[in-house]
Amino acid sequence: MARPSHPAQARHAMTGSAKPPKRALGWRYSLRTQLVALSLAPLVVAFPLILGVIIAIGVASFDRVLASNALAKAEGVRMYLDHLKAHSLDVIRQHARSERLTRLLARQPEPLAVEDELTTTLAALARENQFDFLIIASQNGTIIATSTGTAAGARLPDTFVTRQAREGVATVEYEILDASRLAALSPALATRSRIERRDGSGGIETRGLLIDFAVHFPLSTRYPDAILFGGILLNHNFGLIDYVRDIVFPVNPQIGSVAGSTTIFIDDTRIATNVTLPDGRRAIGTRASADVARDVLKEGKIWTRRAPVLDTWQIAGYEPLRDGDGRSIGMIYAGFPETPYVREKWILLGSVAALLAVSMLALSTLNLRTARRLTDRLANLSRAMTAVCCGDRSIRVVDPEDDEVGQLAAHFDELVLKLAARERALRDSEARAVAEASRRRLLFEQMRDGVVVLDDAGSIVETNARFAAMLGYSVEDILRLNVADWDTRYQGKDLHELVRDIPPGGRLFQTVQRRKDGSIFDAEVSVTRIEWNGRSYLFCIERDITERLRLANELEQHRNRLQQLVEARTRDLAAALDEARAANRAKSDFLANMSHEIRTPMNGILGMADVLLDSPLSGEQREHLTVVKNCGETLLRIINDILDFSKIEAGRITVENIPFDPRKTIASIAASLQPQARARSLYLETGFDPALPPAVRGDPLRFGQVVTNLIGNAIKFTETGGVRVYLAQRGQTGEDGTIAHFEVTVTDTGIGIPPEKIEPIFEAFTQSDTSITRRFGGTGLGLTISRKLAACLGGTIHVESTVGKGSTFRFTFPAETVNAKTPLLAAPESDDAAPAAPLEILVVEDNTVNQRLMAALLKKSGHHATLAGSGTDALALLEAKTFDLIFMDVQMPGLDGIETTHRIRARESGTGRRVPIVAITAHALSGDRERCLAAGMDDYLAKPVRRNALFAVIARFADRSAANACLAEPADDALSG
Amino acid sequence: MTRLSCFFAIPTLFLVLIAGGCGHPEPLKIGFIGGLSDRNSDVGQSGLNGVMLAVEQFNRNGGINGRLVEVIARDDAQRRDVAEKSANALVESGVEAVIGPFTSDMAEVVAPITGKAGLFEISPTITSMAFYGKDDHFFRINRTTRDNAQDYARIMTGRGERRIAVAYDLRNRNFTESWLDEFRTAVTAANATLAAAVPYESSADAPFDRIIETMLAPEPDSLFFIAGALDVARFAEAARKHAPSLPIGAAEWAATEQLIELGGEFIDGLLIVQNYDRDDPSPRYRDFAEAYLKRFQRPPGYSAVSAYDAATVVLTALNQRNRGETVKEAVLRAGPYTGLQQQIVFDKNGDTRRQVYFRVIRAGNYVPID
Repeated sequence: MARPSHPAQARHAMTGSAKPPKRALGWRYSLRTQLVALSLAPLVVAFPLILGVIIAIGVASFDRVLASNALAKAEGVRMYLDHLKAHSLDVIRQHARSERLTRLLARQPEPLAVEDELTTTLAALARENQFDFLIIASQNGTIIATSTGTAAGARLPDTFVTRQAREGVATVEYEILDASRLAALSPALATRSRIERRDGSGGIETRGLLIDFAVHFPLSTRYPDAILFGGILLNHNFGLIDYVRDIVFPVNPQIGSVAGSTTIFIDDTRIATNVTLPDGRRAIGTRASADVARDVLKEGKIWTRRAPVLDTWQIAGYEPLRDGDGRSIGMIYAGFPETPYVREKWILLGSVAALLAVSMLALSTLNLRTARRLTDRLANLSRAMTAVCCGDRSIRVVDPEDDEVGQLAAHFDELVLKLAARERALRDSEARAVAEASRRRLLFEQMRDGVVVLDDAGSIVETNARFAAMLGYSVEDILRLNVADWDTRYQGKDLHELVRDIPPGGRLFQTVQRRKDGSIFDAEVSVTRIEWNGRSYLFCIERDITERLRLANELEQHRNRLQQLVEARTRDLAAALDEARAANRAKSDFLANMSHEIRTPMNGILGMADVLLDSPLSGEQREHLTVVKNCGETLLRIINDILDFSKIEAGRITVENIPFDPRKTIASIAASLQPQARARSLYLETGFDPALPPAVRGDPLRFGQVVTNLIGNAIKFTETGGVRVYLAQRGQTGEDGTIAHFEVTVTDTGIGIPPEKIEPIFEAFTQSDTSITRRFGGTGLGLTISRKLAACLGGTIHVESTVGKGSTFRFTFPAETVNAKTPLLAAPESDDAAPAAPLEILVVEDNTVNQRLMAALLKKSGHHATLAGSGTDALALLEAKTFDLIFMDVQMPGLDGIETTHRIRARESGTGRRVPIVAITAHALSGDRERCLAAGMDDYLAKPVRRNALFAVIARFADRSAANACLAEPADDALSG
Repeated sequence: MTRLSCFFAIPTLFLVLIAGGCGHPEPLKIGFIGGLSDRNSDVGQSGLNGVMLAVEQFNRNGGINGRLVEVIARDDAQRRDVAEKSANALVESGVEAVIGPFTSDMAEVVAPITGKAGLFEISPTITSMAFYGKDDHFFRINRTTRDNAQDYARIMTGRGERRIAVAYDLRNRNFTESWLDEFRTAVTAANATLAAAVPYESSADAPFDRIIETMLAPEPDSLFFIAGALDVARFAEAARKHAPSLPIGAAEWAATEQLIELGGEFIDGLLIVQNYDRDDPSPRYRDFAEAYLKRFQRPPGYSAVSAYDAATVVLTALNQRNRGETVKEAVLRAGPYTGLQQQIVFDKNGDTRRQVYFRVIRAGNYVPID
């Protein structure tokens, strides 16, 4: 089968290039080749590589171990000999200090006997310490005694150590002595040293290698300067060399033995050794190899590697021996045969190599088998893929393994299954699409509304039979029409605008359309823009709405009529409401005016009654007059209540906001009501929260009115016990805590109020019981006014009551707290102000009753009053005379009080004089006071003018007038004083 | 094929590196120079022993990061020509530092050679003022002759000696003359005088008797020797012969085992200073003394102790040396060092102070003075 077997080839096949890819033949492009190469790599590449490294490292390290072992052995020999040297020196050092020797030496030069004893002693010491000789010689080198029997008096042969000792330096060294010097020490030594060379030269080594040592005897007067000299001959010293061998190559029954040997050389000639010749004799006189002699003797190096010893290869350690002058004079050797170690080395390496080779072979075989299976399975997969490409959907790979290739095969099978299913689904969905299209066509055709699809030029693309019927065309004819043919509104350009302006959600509009017969009708069109295949279409649903429009018209007419009817009725109602409001206002105005009008004569009645009561009267007259006055006051209270109520109702009340101390206000009210309470045998107590601020900002007048009402009410409805008033602060609000809530509690022990009657008592003209009115009197407006005033202050009034036990009224109100420095409104003057000095007072008042009342009151208080009936009169009087004080009625015909005051002040300007002017007005309304003060007046009295209030004002201005007089006329004052 | 080559080349290279890395690093060389032959060889010999012991112990503990230390020892034979040859040989052998020499005369020859090569050198024993207060490569473990001479003068005048006759060895004149100058200054300051100052050249057949006679001519009340141990022994012998009752003393140079060994009965009562406490009971010194005895079959002398300390300084500094730092810089930075018996603190010139111990010889032993 001709198919591309590789991606590169496949690409090549697709592009159709004639030039084959260069790399297509490379080994990397065949998976099978690559896997075979990788499988064989351990055997072919890794094995020789690893083996080479093991041999290189193993052999080197094995040789190093052997070399260091040989070094250790050679070092052992040297250490032993060093120890022997040091020990020997130490021994003769001790002998040189010993009493035994120094005593014998001190007896020198006594004759023979002593000499013999010294010789004997030296011989014994030499034997004892295994020295070959021991000699005492004098400082100048003459032998005194020897252990070997050499005659005394002979010259001591010159050696390094004897030279040192004669200087005083104890020394031990290796030293070579020639035959003559040896003979001088002892003939036996020369004989023992003699060695035949076995190098074929037939030569004889006559020199001897010694460890020799010498010390100087401590200086003393008892014996001569002398040295002690000894030595050990190493030539033929088999005892020593075998002992050294036993130390460095020990034999142990458990571990076995290492065959090793040790040797001492003079130069390169063996003079003491346990190396044997083939015939079993010691290899004395044989020589070391030339390499060894060169390295060790000439260059002074230490030799630690294999070396030929006689006929065998040994692992050898050689070290040089030096004499006292540092010359290399011989060598020491320790070594062991190489053969067993070499054998062991190769057995070990061979085993490792064989094991490695077997492992690698097994590994490669296993790899090859695995690779073969893998490529077979991949080929199987590849065949299946080709079949699927050719359209076969029944083929399956079915790989039993669960590895990656197995999973790939499983995925492939799954993929083929899915492919087949997808193809089936596609066929099914095609069939469904055909059915759906037929169904939609049917719906389109059967629709009750006309449906038409237009292109952007307005030509019909598709329509249904209903649309054709609406326009009176056949279905075939209508397909040739353009929208302009039936729509009277959309022609050419308009249509383009319509298309452009259609929002995404479509558009609904009305239009007029023309039928084939020329008749027209109203149509409702729902149009939607459709984008399909890159072109715009209009999808229109059309409905004939002629009948619907007719019905809508009728409905509109009915609605309009109804609308007109409702508007007419609303106007009537508004007029009626205005009328009612005006009537109500008129009622309140009437009440207010009435009250005002009544107050003026009441002023006269009460004032005159007061004047009369102060005059001498009979008991009966006084009693009757008191009744008149009480009735008048009751009437005035009723009128005041009505006035207040009507003002509140008329919305004419204003609230001040000035600093005042509520404690003083309450105290003052309580003081004024105290007589009333006493008259009824009731107590009236006041109490204050200690935490109260020094002052608050608010309307003291309204506050006082509420409190007066509550206390007055309580007194009125209490028969036994009394009334308790308490003022407390209840907490703070506001941004900086300056707004506090205060509570005035008025508690009585009166008749109480049933719960269902509590709310009604606050309603106008109501008391809890109609019988009450009869029993207690009053307008019943007090609490109503109080609650409304409280509301004006932003506060409330609540009642808690138990019938027969009493009631508690709680008046709570908010107010801004003020620190003590703010000036407070002057507290009301006390009733019993002292009568002042006589003043000249001008009373400006148009009402004659009031004129007479004022005159009477002023006269009674000892002042002189001049009356003026109008502002003009007053100005005229002021031209002629100087007054201490002016009472000015505000409301006068012609020049009123305000204007008159203006003129008086205008005249005064520049004179330095300023007569006090006090306003008197029935306008007991807030705002009057400010108006009067602004006009230049100094104070203010409300009508009806009460005697005490009048006197208080006079007293105040009398003081000021006196002060002014003092300032103005100091000389007179001084004279009168 | 490149990738295949890499595949095998990298592990091969790795293995070769492992194999190559198994070799031992070259040992680090330290030079030693001192008198190993001739009359005063005991100072040099026991100094070498001290250095060897320190190096062996250091190597046994792993050396400098596994690199072992090798001592290259050279003899100066107390001769200027030999010393010059040996110093040059040490410089050529590539040593990192030199310990030695042990006498001031030798230092006069050796220090310029090593200094020129930039080699750090430290002397265990030198006291001469000639090397004091110089910013060079030459450091000293010992105190100065000035310190010693002043202490001697204080002790001796304190014992009532007012006319002191001195003999001094011209073979080590750098030391002996420096010592003599300082001693003269100190003695004069203490209202005493030097009755005589007799120079001589040390040798086996030096005329010790005649020198003593010269010293005795101005009728001194004590004799003092600035000389090596063997000479002091001979001087003592002669002094006992000619003036048995005069007190004798010797400079610290002679304070060795050799003095005891040769001096015998003649040096009984000799005043001498040791720059170490031979009876030190501290564990560190006991361990050292025991190891020394085992290793060399004899107790350590003052030069062994000083040389061991010098080796400790050099080895510690080498072990702590930073990359790019000279040995001198390392020695100055790595201090102070814990010596066998005292702390070793160098000033910037490489001078140090050292405590000394005055001793009198009694029956062949150094014993503390009363």
